[in-house]
Amino acid sequence: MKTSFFRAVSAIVRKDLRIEFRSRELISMMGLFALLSILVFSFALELDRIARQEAISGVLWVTVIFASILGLNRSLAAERDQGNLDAMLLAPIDRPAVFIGKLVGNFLFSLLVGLALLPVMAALYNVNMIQPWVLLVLTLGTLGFSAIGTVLATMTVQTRTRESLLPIVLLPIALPVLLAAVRATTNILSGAPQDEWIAWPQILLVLDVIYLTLCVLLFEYVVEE
Amino acid sequence: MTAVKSMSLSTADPAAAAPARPRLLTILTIVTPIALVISLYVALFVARTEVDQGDVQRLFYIHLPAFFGGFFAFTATVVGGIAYLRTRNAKWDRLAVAGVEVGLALSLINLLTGMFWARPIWNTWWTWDPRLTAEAIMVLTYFAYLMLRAGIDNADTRRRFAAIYGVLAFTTVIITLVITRIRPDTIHPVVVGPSVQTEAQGMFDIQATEGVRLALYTGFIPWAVLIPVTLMWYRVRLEALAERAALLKSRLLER
Amino acid sequence: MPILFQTAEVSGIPYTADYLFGGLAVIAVIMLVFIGSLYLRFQNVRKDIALAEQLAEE
Repeated sequence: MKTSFFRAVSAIVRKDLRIEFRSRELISMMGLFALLSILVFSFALELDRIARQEAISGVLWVTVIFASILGLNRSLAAERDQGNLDAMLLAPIDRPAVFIGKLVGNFLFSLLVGLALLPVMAALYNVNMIQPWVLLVLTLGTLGFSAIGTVLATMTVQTRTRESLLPIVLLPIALPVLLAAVRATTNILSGAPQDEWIAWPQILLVLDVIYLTLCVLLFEYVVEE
Repeated sequence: MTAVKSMSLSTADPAAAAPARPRLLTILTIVTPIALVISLYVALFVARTEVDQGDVQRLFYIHLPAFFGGFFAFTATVVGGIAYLRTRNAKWDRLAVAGVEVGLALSLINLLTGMFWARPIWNTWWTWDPRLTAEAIMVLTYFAYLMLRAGIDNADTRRRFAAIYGVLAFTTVIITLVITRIRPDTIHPVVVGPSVQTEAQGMFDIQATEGVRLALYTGFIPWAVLIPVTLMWYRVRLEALAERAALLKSRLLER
Repeated sequence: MPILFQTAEVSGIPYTADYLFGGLAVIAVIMLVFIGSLYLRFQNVRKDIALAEQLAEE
């Protein structure tokens, strides 16, 4: 008998969350990396009042993206090393359920880092980061990025170069998502009228739908054997 | 597709001697340079000089066809990738990798001719215009494809992952194609199809200049069809030979 | 008639032929590098196969 789709997904997500809750390894690593990255950017770009408006959404997204790559590598490497992936694939679960399960976990960690960064950056740079549209764009951006990232990380943990290959194959494919997210965030933060930037969240949504569909279809071939 | 069939090794023994060069490939090898020379002649000597831009506009007769040649090659990668995932026949993977390498060469030609044109017309080698950005992303994606292939030792895993990545990578090609429709703030001229932008810089009327259409069509024959087909065919044959070499080596080691 | 080495003084058309030649040179370089690499890889693989077949016979 096959386990129902949603039960399988929620079981995988709960498993990931429980592991993380016990060790707090991943989220503390991602969080610390994100804080360090913000500090490095502050020094490197000398983020004064004028530079902030333009650079701040770039800093936010680059930080979230690299923290996510860190998380993706850890998450999939752990699955592989402990043989969890094989066990999940042997279990009577649909492949898309395995994918969605892993995706939700990775997405939640990335989103959490992004959400935690918003108040920190708001305090450091004195910009109102916590706006409903920013939250929406952050959600859509990390979702698309995590979808592509989950598929590609499952592939790269099986290669010779492992961790170092993921950013190289992931960044160019995810760049359209990142580009739309950065443009949307920059415009929202600068307080431009809505009809000037509403196209960007729309493009982001379309890209998310396309990438999610492709990733669900292709994941089946990533994990066979 | 007949080409693909004749490119594959005999199924009975993959290590058997490679088939001799098909006659069609020999013909292509002769016809392609001839078509290239004709198209260069028409572009350089028949088409009239563009009044506002001068001679550099002639690069356009290579720039646009080369993009479609790259598009054709990357499409072959997607077709090869999907067919490989369905049939698990290695010949489709050869087509996929051939498409990536030839597509990269043609895309680089497209990018660099664009840069040489942009220097006098836009007064800069490069600008972060949406279409230029999209194409730069596309080129990087296909370089990443080659890196991914190089990183996997097991031949079956390599083919499978390369097929998946080839399908994902094609999204960047589509984005490069449609970006001028969804982002009207591009300064890149939209030559084919309806355009929403009004102020493309360096735009010229395709009808106004004598010989433009002729030069463009004679450019399409080598750059968008003959060169990609011929080069991909040779690359496919190279991959088949390399597979045979790998097989012979592994047999030697087994003894 | 097109004039390839036209100057601004003669016709009023801007002189941009240098960039045309630069572009053509880059195209030639890319094509030659690609074809050359194909040729070299063919040579290497053929050498490998010949060597492997020779060893197999011994």
